[in-house]
Amino acid sequence: MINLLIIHYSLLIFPMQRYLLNRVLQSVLLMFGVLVIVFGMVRLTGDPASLMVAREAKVEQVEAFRESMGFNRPLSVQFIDFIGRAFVGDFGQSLRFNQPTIEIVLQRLPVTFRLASLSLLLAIIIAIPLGIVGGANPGSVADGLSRAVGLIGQVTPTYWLALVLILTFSVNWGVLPSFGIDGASSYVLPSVALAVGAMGQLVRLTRSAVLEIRSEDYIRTARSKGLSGPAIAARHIFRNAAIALISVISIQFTYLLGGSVYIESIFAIPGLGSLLDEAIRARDFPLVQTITIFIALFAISLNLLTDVAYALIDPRIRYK
Amino acid sequence: MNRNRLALALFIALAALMAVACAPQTVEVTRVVTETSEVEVTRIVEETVTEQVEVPVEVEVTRIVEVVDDGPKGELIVALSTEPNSIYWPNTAERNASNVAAQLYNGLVWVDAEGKVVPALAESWEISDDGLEYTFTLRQDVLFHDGTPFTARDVVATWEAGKSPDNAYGYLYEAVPTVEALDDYTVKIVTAVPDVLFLRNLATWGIIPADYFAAVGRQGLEDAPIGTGPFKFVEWSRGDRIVLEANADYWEEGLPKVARIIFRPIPDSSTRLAAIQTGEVHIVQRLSAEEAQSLLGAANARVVRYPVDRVYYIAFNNLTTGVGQPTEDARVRLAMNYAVDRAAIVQGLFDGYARISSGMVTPANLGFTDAAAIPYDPEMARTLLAEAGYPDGFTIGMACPIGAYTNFEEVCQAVANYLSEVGITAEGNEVQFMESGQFWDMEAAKELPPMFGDSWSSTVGEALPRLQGSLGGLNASYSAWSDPEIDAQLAAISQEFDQTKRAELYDQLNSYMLENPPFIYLYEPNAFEAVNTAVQNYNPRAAEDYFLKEVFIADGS
Repeated sequence: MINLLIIHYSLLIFPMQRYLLNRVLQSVLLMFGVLVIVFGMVRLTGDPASLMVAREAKVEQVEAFRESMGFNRPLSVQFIDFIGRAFVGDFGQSLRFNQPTIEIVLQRLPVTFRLASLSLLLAIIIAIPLGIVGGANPGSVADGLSRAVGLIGQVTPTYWLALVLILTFSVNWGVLPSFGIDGASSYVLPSVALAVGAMGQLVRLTRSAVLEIRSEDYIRTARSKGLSGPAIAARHIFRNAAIALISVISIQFTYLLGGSVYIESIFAIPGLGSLLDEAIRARDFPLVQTITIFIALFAISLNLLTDVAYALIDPRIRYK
Repeated sequence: MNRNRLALALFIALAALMAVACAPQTVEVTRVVTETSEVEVTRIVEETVTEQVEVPVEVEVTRIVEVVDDGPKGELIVALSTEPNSIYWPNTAERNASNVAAQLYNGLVWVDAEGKVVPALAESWEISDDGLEYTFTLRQDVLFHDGTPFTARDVVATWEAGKSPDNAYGYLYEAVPTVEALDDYTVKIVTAVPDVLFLRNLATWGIIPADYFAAVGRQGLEDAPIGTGPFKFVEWSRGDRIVLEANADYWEEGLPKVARIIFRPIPDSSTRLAAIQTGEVHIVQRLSAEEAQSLLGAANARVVRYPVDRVYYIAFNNLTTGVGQPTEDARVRLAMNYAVDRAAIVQGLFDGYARISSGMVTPANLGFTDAAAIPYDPEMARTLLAEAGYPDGFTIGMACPIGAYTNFEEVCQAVANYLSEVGITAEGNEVQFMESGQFWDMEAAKELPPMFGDSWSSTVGEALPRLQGSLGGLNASYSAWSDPEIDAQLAAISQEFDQTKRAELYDQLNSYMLENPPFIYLYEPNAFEAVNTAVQNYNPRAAEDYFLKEVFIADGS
């Protein structure tokens, strides 16, 4: 009741709060949708009993397994049970590893986070300056380079690139490890392989955002009142381009987490991505569910933060 | 315009650079192939497993390495193709996991390289006349890794812990009603029914320390395993590595030979291939034939190839969907065996690196007698079909799994094509391909079409589990076939404790199954592994298991 009052109150008074509240409610709905889809999808792949129980086992032994895991209950009952437990933080026991899934996930999370952050950083450091310079000077050499990087980044298959990097830097030149995590040098190849796609997209978007803003009326006004090129770039072009970039960067970070599934498998990196790959192969329902929930939760929170950042940077969004 | 061209040139230059980055690899491979010819050195590692070493001609073929015994030394790094689910033996889901457990624990008995059951922690044993009671006399000089002596109580504790339904192989322990310590060094084990495979299963009962288990429980043992094996547990960093070190008090004189083993999961086979080339790991398994081939010129690695104890087949159903089908006639099934050119399939899809199956008893199994495989003879097939009353063939449903086995889709397609040449067409004119998970669910529910492709391995050195599993009628989860004659012969085998007589029974059954085939027998694939040239004494077996206590690393590498 009190909650309702507060919502009502805020609806009238603070547009910013109303905006945020809307976003939070949307996120909760989205999360519920994710739970339904994940639950349904993992069960489409078949029954874990055929992978978990030895092939030589008798019919009764397979039944006993289903019984003990609760897989013989109606799907709706299993789903309600799953939601109820997830709500209180009980994500269940991994079928394959016989451990609480949450423990395994927390153990594997840092490596993936580090890898995705490094890749994003790498993509940003190269892509944004290149995109800005390219967009600000259309037709220049830098512009050509930015378009080339954009194109190559987006068309290069990650899997192929990862293997080429391993062959070149590990097998032929022997300068970097081909797999695993043994210190900082192990992050180089996987983060480069993961970054290239994001880099391509970022360069293209930065370039086109800058190009577009360049021809806006307010830039002409700024120029006509005598502002220098760099001042215009810093105060007007970049600030306006930032809106588009923030949303792309946050989306890219989520993509990078997704991309870590195969990059981590190729480079044998003990992160969440390779764990998800293993869990799917082993039809470890609880583990797949927990990992997906974590990634979804992360992506949704990131979206929420992005929305907040928009509102802070751009008053237009706040009051719409 | 000029600038556009510049951009294009830049793009081409970049693309070329990327192409060049991988080019040296291709060039090198071609050079190796043209300059060297292969020499195949075949030595018999055990009765059934042949190790083949393929080396360029100018390289010395074998290196005789003087072994000076000054205790375990060196570090051996072994790649695993998946992260083990557990290293507690009864709960190990597959070979990657049990192969790690096997270095930490010992059973009461071992299956040796010749496939015979030999003493390990038990010095000797006696079996009662009814085949139910086993009395083991235990070794008295064995210590666990924590220093406590090994006694009969530990065997009882191992059995009690193993029985948990949480364990993947809990049913093997569950099947034993009594394990009793008669005194400190005598154990009596009673089985429910006479079970000729019992000692072979017992070889996988890794003995755990009773007191430690009572103190730390199942999870404690999983996290910090203690056994009597040649290697001690040091650390398991999940998804990253498992580290073991030599057990200085190990009871077998002079073993182990390496001071440390590090297991590293590398799920992607192309990365395993890279890691053996860079020398980052010493042993990699589960390579494809092409990947193994690409190592032929490598200076620091040799390829190990051996037939795996896994038979691929097309099964028939006479329990549910196959009732009333022409395939109930033995002549029809035999005709289908004659109709398929397995040699061409093996050559075309596996470069010849597979054995053409001559039944369900493989060369790694007790009772294998080099029976001839059914030859390719389409004329014979047509004659048999005509005799059975199907001179123009018939139409029948056939299904195969996708994504589970190497090249198996192509194999099924080829089989269907050969069958269509003698007039037998697949229903709807095509093989039904299904995602393997769904396929196995339907196989267990016995809802697959009357013909379906699959495979079955054996890890105990005998074909009995494979035969009982695939031919056990409605009792067995994945069986689609029942034949009273086979049932009777399997019952006889499972009660014959004399290995020589059992071998004869296997041979008899296999002959019967070649005349009345419940399968189209296909092939047994080869396993390809690569080993660093410094690694000596590595002898994997047909069941894809290995003991690393004998392995050592040659000096100067």
